[in-house]
Amino acid sequence: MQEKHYSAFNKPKWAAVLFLLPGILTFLLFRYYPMVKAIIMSFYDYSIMNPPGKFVGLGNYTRALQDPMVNLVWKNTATIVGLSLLGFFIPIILAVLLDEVRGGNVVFRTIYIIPAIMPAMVTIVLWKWFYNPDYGLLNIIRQGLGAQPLGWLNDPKLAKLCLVLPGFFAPGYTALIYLAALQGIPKSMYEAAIIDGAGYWQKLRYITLPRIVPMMGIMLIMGLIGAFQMFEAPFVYTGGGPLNSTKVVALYIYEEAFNFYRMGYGTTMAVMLFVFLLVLTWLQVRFFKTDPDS
Amino acid sequence: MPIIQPSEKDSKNRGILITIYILLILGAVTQIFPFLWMLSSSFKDNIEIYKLPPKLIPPRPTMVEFQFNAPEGATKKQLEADAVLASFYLLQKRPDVKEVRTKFFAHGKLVYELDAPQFQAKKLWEAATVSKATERQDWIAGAGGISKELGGRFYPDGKNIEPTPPPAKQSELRVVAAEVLTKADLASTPRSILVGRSFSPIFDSYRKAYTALGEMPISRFFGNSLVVAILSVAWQLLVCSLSAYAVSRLVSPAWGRVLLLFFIGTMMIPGMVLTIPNYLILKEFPFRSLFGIPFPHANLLNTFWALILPAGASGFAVYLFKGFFDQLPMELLDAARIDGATEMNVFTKIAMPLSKPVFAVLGIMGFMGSWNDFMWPFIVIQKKELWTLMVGLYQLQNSAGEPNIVMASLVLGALPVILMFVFFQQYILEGIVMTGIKG
Repeated sequence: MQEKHYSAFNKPKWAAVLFLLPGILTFLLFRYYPMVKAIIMSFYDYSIMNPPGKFVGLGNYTRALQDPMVNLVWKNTATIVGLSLLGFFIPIILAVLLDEVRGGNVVFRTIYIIPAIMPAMVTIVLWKWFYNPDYGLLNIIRQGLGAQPLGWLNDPKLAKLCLVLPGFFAPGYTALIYLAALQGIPKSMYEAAIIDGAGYWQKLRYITLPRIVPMMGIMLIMGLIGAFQMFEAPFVYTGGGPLNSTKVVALYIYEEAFNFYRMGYGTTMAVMLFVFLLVLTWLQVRFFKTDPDS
Repeated sequence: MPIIQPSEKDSKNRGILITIYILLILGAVTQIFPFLWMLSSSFKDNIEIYKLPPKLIPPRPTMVEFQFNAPEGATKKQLEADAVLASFYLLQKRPDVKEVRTKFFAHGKLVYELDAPQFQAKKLWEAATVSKATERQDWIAGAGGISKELGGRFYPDGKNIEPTPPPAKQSELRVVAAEVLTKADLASTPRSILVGRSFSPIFDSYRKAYTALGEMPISRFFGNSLVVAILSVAWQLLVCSLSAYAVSRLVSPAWGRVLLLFFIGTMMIPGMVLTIPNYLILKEFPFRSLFGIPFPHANLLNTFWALILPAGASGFAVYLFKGFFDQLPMELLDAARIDGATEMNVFTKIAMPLSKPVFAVLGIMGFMGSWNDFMWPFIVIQKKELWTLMVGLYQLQNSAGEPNIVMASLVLGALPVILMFVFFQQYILEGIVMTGIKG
């Protein structure tokens, strides 16, 4: 492959430059420059009127470490991420089930995928209506079963769970990724196991699951990276309430930066989030490297 | 590969298979039900939606039909005025009536008819207040406008229709309707009043969401989202395919590695850390000054540029394109070069047509990503007329909009995604699987 890769022709250098120019400019302007700008801004008490404002050194960082709200939003975020992990196995189970279906595969796939590719806003607004204490579907069902209605999003104890619950009902996207991994398991492995007298559960336990463990690791880390940046769900469902119980890191950053125009402080917290996610990403890369199959 | 192989369909495995199908069907119900609920709610009116216990299939809306004898020598304007007045008074008095039809007859022939839906009652009312304050002539002019908007039909030569016999049964609604008519002081004389059911008002939430929300026309946001998504995707495909082609084919291997790292390294930067600086960059785009020298700049906030330009920088797209271009047979590209084709021609005439699948996957995923995005458009666009649909949905549900109209808007927001899936299923499924390898 590599020998054939480069043409016998000496291509003009300016062609390469022209092809690369829009890409390099766009990536520099919207990825690298803002990244550097973010780090610089975090050392300033940034002023929009007269940028960059007053240099404060590590002041924003020491302030963040002492800010009780920072403490709270990280705790909230960690709790919500932890709750979202309750649904971690749902897509795996769905993928294992879908793997067995031959006839009707398309039908099931369509039914399970569409909710998973819905715009987040549609799902959130719909569930917000489900959670409505007076007219929402969930309380109607509870009353139908003879149970007391709940406050759902208005209940500080329940609100965190309410943010992640809809995700449990949309496992299709992740399930499809697992399904692709399952379909890559060679037939011969199962056939060998059948000869050895293995039943369904044994094959599942000793062949199927071990083969998708690396994928589970990747999905776990990717899920965590996404969940730690969660913004839309708390913003739309609760706006951070009740009693700040769903105020997460991204929401606090947004409020500081765009409601109170403390851009320097907001960026500082974003940089701290970035460093934290970098550690997670590093873990992911390591996980990926130790995986012999990929 | 399925765990249960075709070679071992014994009774024990059949039990497991049946269990699997039952679980999948139960799961499918949880997937479909929320959508059915959304759809059903969007077909309800603002009274029905609050009713407990709720019905999954909403009842057909109530309709009242007034039939009048037009006065001798009546003009179109007079009939319009009578139709609007009669409709408005009944719609106002009875919010449960979803449609009022008025029909005017002269010499046994239909000469004018108007269907007025409940959700337009406010507009009818606005015209009515004008009429009360001024002379009747002004009112007639106003009625003409709304009659045209609601599709009132005038038949100068009359139209033969079967006369409907007045119903034998008296209902409470008919009594109210008759009272309304006597108070309305119309030029025409009532002939009969019919109470029935009509199908078309079940779409009123959609009609209202789409056209009649005044300050928040969903149709406008829908169009904005469409424009933004298409342009974002086009820009992203252009920038990333050109770069990836150069990385794959036009530079030395050493440069290729460096450049690839430059592009895909950006995938590690979380969006959250870029939000604030990117906002500030777009506010004074591209720089306020360069090394102390003032630089020409423009404020791109509150323009579509703020949504489109950053979409070009997708490390994932470069990565996928590069992987695909690497697979293209070099001989084919070289053959074109022998014929004297320029590098741009080689790219557009040979490389691009061969890479249709990857363009399709990235195009569709990019479109859906842009369509579904909320946070960034919400931050950079404050002007109402430029809001995307997702921002519009957020603002609509936040402004305590009626839930049936919110639900209809949600259906409109979901529709393009569902249509995309129906038409481009294969590419979407491939794209999803590829996000798995991105990690």
